[in-house]
Amino acid sequence: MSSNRINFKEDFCKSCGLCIKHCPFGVLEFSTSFNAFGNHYVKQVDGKDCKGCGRCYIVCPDCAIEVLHD
Amino acid sequence: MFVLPKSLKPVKNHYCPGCGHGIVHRLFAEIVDELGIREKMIAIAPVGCAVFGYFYWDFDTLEAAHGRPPAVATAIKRLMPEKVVVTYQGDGDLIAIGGNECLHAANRGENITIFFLNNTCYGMTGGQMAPTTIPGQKTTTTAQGRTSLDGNPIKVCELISSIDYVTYVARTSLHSPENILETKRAMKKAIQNQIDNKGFSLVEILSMCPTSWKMEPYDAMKYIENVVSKEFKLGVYKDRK
Repeated sequence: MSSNRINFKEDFCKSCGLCIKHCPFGVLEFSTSFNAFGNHYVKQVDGKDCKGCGRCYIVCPDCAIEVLHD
Repeated sequence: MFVLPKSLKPVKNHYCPGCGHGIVHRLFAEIVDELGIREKMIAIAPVGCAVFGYFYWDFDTLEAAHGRPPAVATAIKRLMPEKVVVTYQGDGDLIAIGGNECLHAANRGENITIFFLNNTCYGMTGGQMAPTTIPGQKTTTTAQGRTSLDGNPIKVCELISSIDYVTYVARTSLHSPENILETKRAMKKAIQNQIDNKGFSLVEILSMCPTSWKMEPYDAMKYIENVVSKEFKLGVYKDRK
């Protein structure tokens, strides 16, 4: 069980996909649902653990991701 | 822990998907938190895409006329030397209409810091040619690509670093997480120089504009790596002790 938690601010996401491209472990994907602004927000792939490297946080231009090391 | 800084308001920004402004806004707020200067901070927003900087930074921010932030920063810093005064400008603001203000503030060696976001076009007004547009780049006003008739891109770091009173000039980029962290180090050093009364510092940041470049956000990052950073060489241009 991973001790890292990704905190998504779903309404901030604009579906640019930079976090998905920069995640070295393929942990992120687009949701099939929409947020309040009509964008497919980013979510964690079911069953994949976050390693806590924070690259998604660093590249996110919309401040929509936080990575918490519990 | 990768948690958003307290100096950044928890609001959705207005920038296009994949725009570099959001990243630099966050880096700026992180540095202000880390240096503990939130109460001393006065930022000056430009005219351009970052015109609403004060909606996002949770410290004192004011708006200057187009291109005039270095002149306004000069006045604030001279009147209130205990404040930390930082201007945040785009390429249209800093080197097109504001070229004069920037050059002379640098020439006077004002103890201010400038963050200069270079996305090689006028993003806010629809992607027209800017002084920094690279040769051959297609914009809405250079539909066949920028030619020699339109001049060559102005290399701000090379220009400013040739001035004697300038303390620190560096050019960084946002094309990878490593380069984003390098950008943060340069920005932090530029602010620290001001706190240490060392003088004029400028950090040029190559940023992506996927909307005006008509690219996917990730392709825009690769475009910086493969094309823009070849025209505008990254590195520290001046670091006067």
